[in-house]
Amino acid sequence: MIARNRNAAWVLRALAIVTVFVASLALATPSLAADPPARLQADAQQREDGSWMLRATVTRGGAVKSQETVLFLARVEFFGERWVPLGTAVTDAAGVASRLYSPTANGVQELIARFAASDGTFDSDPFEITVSGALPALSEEAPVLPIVRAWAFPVGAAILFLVWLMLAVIFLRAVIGIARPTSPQTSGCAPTRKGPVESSPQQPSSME
Amino acid sequence: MVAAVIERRDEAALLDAAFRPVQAPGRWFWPLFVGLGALVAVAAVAYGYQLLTGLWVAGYSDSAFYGIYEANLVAFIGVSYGGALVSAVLRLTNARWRAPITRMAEAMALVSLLVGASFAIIHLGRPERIWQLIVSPQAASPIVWDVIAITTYLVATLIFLYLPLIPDLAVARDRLGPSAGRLRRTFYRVGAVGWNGTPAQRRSLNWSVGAIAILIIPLAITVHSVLAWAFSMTSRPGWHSTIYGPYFVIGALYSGVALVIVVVAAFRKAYRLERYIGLQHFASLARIMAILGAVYLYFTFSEMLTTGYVRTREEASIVAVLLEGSFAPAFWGFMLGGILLPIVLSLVPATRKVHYLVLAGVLAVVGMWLKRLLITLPSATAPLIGDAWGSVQFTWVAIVITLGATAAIPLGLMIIFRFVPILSLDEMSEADDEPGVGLAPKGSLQAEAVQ
Repeated sequence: MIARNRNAAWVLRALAIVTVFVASLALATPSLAADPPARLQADAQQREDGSWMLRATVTRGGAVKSQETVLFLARVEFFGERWVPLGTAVTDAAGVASRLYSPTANGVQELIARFAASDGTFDSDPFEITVSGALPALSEEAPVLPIVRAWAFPVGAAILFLVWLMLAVIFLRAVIGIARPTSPQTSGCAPTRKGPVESSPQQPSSME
Repeated sequence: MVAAVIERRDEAALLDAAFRPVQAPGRWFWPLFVGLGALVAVAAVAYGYQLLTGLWVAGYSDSAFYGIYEANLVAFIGVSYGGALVSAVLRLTNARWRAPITRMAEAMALVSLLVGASFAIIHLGRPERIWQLIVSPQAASPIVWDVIAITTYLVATLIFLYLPLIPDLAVARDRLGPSAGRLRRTFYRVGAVGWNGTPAQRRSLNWSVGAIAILIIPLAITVHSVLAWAFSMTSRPGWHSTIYGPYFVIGALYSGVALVIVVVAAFRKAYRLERYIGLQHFASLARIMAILGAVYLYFTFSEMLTTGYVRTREEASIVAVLLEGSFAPAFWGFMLGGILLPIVLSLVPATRKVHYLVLAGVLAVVGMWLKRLLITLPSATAPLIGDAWGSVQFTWVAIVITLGATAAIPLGLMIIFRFVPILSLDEMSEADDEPGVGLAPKGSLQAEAVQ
């Protein structure tokens, strides 16, 4: 009776140890537990200079995720319909990744934010921006040079005209000067000699 | 009396040599002609396929919008300018040794310009829209400048080839007779425009040839600068450079002289012109090529140093991929094989032999084509927004079209020389008339030519 009670006590002790171990393991290593899927909420705000600030907030299980890299993409249709990367941004302490975007074409553009984690790739819902007054790529408002602007085209056109005029004069002077009827008079150089030329034995070409 | 007989025999031999491609092109002519023609035809089919399916079959995408075709455009047009400038400069500096090679250089300039200009259309996804450049041009666009410049230069090159040809067409008119066929006789008769060699005709011709030789130099420099500006007026890292105009011009001259060496060597061998084109011709051309190569090396160093030293973010990334990144093997291959080795082969006395100089020419031509790829690809694939680099695929379509275009150059030259003398008879006679100048048969060139 005493022995049976002792065995039962050992079994209970072992069960208690295993329970404590598993419980502590689960508490100490939360990453082993199944993570809830990450969620991205993305939008964009237009700035005064016409560019757009793209923003995406990364959360997982209700908690914001900082120091994570988010990729912003735009949907394009040329060379096939697909998502083209615009660039990346890293989330701050509030879980927000921000990136400046300067569209180069007007119209409605569809964008998404993407977060790649070890357990999968998570996309935000697509969001749209309506672009008007798009900025040319990498250009700034240049100062207008009114004098250069006014004279560049006429000067260029005049130079081009002069070049073509010179080409015409060169060609016509040669052709008319040669074709004008004059008394035949050889200049003494070989090519102008008329009549059959004494032919040397024909040298075969290496192609023969 | 004896001297006159010898002179007449030399003259007859010269005529035979100059008309050899016209009268007796050899039994390999037609197989070679068909082979090259087949390559061009396959390239035309590939272009048709590209037209039907889109530019993506040539490896283009939104992240790699320039590729092999733009490199071809610059390379082929570049060698054209080189050919024309060599001929024009040597003509103006009265370098008499040029006489046997000018016809080949000028013909090469024309053919390679036609081939190069065709890439302006081939690289368009919607080639029918090129019409818009003509009917509604935007004067501020470098592309419009390019079209105007290339067209102007094409006309100038045609005139530059044709004018010195007039006396030789007269020779063909008088020499070939009925055996030439009706069409060809008409071509010679019309082309010769009644040339008899009178002093008045000679004056007219000399004035025009001198004038076009002067005009074509600034034209060639301007046109290749405009081609360079099409790149450097783009706000892309690697292209937006102030030295691109002269950089491109020197590159064009370097590769052009190199191709003249290769073309002259090929036709010299094929038509047994060793008597007229000797080692000295190749050595002189190679010296010019070496000087131009050294200048190009200096420009490359200057470009790399200034952009690499300042290290703005975008420019630094281009320098990095060229010097140590994915393009580094091609870049250093070009520097060693395309510049340094040709310079060494051209200048070292031990390698001053025709085959070494031809090898130097081939290396320079291939190296400069590679360099044009290195100018085009890194900047075209560098990301303007974001961090993702594009990549160019060398598809079979792009490769076949490039090979076809390359084959079109010898094919075009073979066709031209089936109709016109391969040697400039008029200039060679003039050079021969000058005491002490002489041509290959009479001087040291003849002995050297045997090597």
